Amino acid sequence: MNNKSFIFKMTMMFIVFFLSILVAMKVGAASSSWDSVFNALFAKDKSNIGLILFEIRIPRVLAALLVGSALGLAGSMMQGMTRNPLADPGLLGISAGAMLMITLGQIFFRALDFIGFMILAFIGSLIGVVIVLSLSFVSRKKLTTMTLLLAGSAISAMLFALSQGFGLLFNVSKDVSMWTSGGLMAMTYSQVLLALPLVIIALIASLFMAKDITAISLNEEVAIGLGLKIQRTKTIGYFLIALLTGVSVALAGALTFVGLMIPHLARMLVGYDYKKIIPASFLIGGIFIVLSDSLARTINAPYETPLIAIVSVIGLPFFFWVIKQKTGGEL
Amino acid sequence: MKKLSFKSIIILFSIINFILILLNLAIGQINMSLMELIQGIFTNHNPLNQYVILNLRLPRVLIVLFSGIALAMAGALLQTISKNDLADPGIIGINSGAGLGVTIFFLLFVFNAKSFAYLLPFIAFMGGLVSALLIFVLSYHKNKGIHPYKMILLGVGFSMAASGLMVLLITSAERDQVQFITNWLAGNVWGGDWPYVWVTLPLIVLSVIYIGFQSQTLNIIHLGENHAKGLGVNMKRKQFTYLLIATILASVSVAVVGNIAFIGLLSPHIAKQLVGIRHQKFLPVAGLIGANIMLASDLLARNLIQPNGLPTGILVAFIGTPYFIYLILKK
Repeated sequence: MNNKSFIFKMTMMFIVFFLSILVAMKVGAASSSWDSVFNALFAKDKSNIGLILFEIRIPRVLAALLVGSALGLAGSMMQGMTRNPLADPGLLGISAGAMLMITLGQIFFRALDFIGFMILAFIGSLIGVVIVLSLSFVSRKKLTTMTLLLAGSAISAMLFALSQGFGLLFNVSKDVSMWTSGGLMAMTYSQVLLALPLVIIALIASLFMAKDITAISLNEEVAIGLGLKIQRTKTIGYFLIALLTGVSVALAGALTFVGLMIPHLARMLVGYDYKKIIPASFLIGGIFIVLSDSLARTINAPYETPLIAIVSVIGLPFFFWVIKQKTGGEL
Repeated sequence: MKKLSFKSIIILFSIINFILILLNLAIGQINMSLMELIQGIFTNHNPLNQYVILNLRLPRVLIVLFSGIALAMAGALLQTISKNDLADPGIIGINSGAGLGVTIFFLLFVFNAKSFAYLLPFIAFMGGLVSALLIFVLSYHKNKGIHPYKMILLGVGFSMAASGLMVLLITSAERDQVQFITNWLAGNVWGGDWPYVWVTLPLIVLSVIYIGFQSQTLNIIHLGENHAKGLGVNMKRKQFTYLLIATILASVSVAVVGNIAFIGLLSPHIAKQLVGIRHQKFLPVAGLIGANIMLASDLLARNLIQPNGLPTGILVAFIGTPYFIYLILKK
């Protein structure tokens, strides 16, 4: 695939990206016209609807973009570095680790602000990463796709059970479930501004590593033979995955399937070069969560539908499709 | 590990079981001595104690006990037909299918506790059956029978998405039923009442007796396609029958004790380690172990926090996950 068509595809994605932002701005519990959307975006509109859009809906849409982009990015790096088509921060228990730390934060550090919770989520994600990686180090054989997935789902189950158990023991399960099923409710500009630089930094760093990730994803031995610093790339990569997962969990709770799905879509569009997969995953992830969240706000207005429910229902057919593709000799 | 004979293992686990049953009957919000317990069961010397034992604790103990047996048996059957030691009705998605069935039933019909109790296991079975069939059909290979890896992968994806779908359905319709579903998902024993006992016990007991008679055929199935052919066993038909029985056992029990994973995975496993892989021997041991884990988890779950307790499923996950990870690493 040549560069011209890649640039064309990226341009198209950008256009869809901005269109989905506009759509997400327009739909919701409080109906608004296109006029008011543009007024809220480009003119200081002080009417009621203008305030709703500016204070509530815009930060929420931005947060949705960040969550989707972060998960798309984390998923694509993970799939590249593990060469495992089913790798996903949610399925492998990394989000569950973040969730556990957030639960503990709710119990022991109630006074924490959003920065504190973000740091806790990051630490939890790192714990999840360490558990998953130590599994692959401890088992002498190469971890097959299936073993990793099963181990991941067990770790996930355990960490979620721990969160639930602690939540119930200390009577904070209401707050915790607000975090998990609340999706993107009550986002503020300050939260978005905290998350934004982290996600952008991760994007830039991962673009620098893209060449190495491509090499690892094709053949690790050859990559080592080419003199690439595999270990360093992987260490930084997993660190970034933990960071991105932590940010997304702190914003929207633990979402499964997103990190799994988005990179596959990106690969279908732009091929096997991570220089292209990474930016594509970033955009597609953003588009996907923005549209899913719009659905979550409108499907049963004025009530919110949990974002995680919508995402996992859309994600399932996809998961099946990936398995169908991959049950050649690989599993 | 084969130091103990089969007989002594059965006797040992039966004694543990009996002690756990007594503890479950005696300990709770009202604690009783052994003497008070025996008096409460056989005399109406103390009406309050008698009421607590006969109307509150005994039905719950029976439900928990038989669910443990049923889940262990379902796991054993699934492991035999899929030739995979990691199969378990919870991991494979039969549990969440059953839960989804119950959820849809909730939404379509008016919730009437009395008639609902009798219908519930059948509804759960329908849901479990749909997911079992789906997984069976999708992982079926014309020449090889069930493709074990595919079966597990599909199950994991399906169970995640089914849980998401449950939340989606519930939050979009019955806002006051959310509590029930979250409890169900966490594995909260809620069917601890006589009507549920009368409905579930016969189904479980009949299925277990049937499996007992099928032990020899199960051994043959375990040996594989060629032996089965040679010995005149219709492999495909038997595979399907056992899948059906496993679905009945799992669905009926999760209908009343909620989504509890790991029992079906652990019990047959520990049993095989103790008494070998002949079904005549390990099935009864597995049933006893399943009952033990469930009774112990429920005892802890009810008494760790007063007055509401923890969901039993959380404690089962606590006990089960470390073993599960050990299992994966050992493979």
